[in-house]
Amino acid sequence: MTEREFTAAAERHLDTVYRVALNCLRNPADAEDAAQTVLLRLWQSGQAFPNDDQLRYWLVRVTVNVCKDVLRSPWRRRMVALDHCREPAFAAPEHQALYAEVMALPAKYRLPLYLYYYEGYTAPEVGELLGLKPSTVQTRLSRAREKLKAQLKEE
Amino acid sequence: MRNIYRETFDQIHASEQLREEVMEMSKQEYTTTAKRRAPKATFIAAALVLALAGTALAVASPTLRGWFEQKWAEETGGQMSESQSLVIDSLTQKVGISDTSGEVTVTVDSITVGSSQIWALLDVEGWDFDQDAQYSFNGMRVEIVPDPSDGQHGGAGYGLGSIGFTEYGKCRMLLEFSATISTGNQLNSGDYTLEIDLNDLIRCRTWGAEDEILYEGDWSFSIPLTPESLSPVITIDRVQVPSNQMIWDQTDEEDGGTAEGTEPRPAVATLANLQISATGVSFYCDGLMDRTHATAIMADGTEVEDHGGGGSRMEDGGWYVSFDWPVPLDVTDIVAIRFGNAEIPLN
Repeated sequence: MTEREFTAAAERHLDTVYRVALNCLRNPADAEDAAQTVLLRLWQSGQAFPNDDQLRYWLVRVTVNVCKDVLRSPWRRRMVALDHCREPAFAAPEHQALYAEVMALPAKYRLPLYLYYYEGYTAPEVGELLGLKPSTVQTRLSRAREKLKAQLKEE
Repeated sequence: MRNIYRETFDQIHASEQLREEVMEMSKQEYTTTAKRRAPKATFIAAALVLALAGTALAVASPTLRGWFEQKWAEETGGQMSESQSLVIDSLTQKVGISDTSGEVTVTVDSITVGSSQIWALLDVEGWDFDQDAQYSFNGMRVEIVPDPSDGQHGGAGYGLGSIGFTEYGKCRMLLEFSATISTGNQLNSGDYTLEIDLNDLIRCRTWGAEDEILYEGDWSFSIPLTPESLSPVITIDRVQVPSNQMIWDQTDEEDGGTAEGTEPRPAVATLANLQISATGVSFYCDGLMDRTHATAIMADGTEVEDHGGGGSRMEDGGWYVSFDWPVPLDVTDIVAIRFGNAEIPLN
């Protein structure tokens, strides 16, 4: 991967990587650290991808694995962060409320929800990314929707 | 549902600072003089090659010293110095205490004890381990008795996971523990006991899937922390570092009130009682300090960044902050400490 290709890939996918990490870790600062690790791995891998979808898939997969390591590590911030909270701010109250509700969900619901509803992966694809059976993914999506139904509007 | 969900997450972006740092990644070079920090991925790949080649080092029967050497190479890209190894040896004590629950025996082989961190090497036997899998325990309690924070700050972090297997098929695990301690206390002063309770051996699964409980049991240990040697602590009474926070000067008004100035200025954070030990750095600060990492700069230019830390708010509104080094450092070899862009030389 050339420098130019890496820069273009980072421009296109940094937000995706960050959002995946945020859904895994919930903490914006930890999510940024994880995102930086993932992009560094992309650059150092030197790997070429036949198309952008495969690159994105690789990035999501690596992000999940990096976040898994963070979650297992005792070396996360033990107490309150020093800086002011860098939680996202939303203009519309319904978006603020939804974000708060989503982040209050248990971790095992947040990431399938994001990958399915935002990144557009199918349930089997979400299962492949997370090492889950498609039926398990469907169950978690269903339970997440139940928990969020007060905040979400039916299409 | 999809619409409002997408609208919400459309508004979430990585920060500009992160974006700039990522764009700079491809332009950075790693030199041996300025910053000895080999890409972690490169080192890990090299370690795997060594393992596959069947060299003696590999990951079989890892020792605490071997683990620290590998960790040092990952963090700095270089080889651990002899003085560094001697520091680790001086902080390491052989334990050899076992506890058996049913068919599974856990042995605490040895521990490395620093001022605020402990690394414990455990052997688990009695189970037919798959050497391609990761193992841990479903429940654990790790505590220092008496409380080294004297109840002032509270909080500790710890984690346990498998790091290899011995030639006899035992699973070797590493327990990493970091304590918040009060000023003047050191875990290796001879006044403390490490208590460990472990429940239910598990095989760790990939993210999202449930861990598998392999064997239900309970194992307990009480280990006096003997002072093999006290690591030196460098103390700096007071130092100021620049902050990215902006403040407005206040002036007294004639009517007894206060008015804020019209132009903000960059704040300066004051750090007090800065203590640098073999296993970390801690200090009190006035709340104006930016969130950043702590980096120890060694005499040969090697830089070692913290691998975790945190702060707790004090009653006076200030903060008590501590960072942990990834491996014990030779304190006499540290020439400066850096917080973000602020470098504090140690004379």
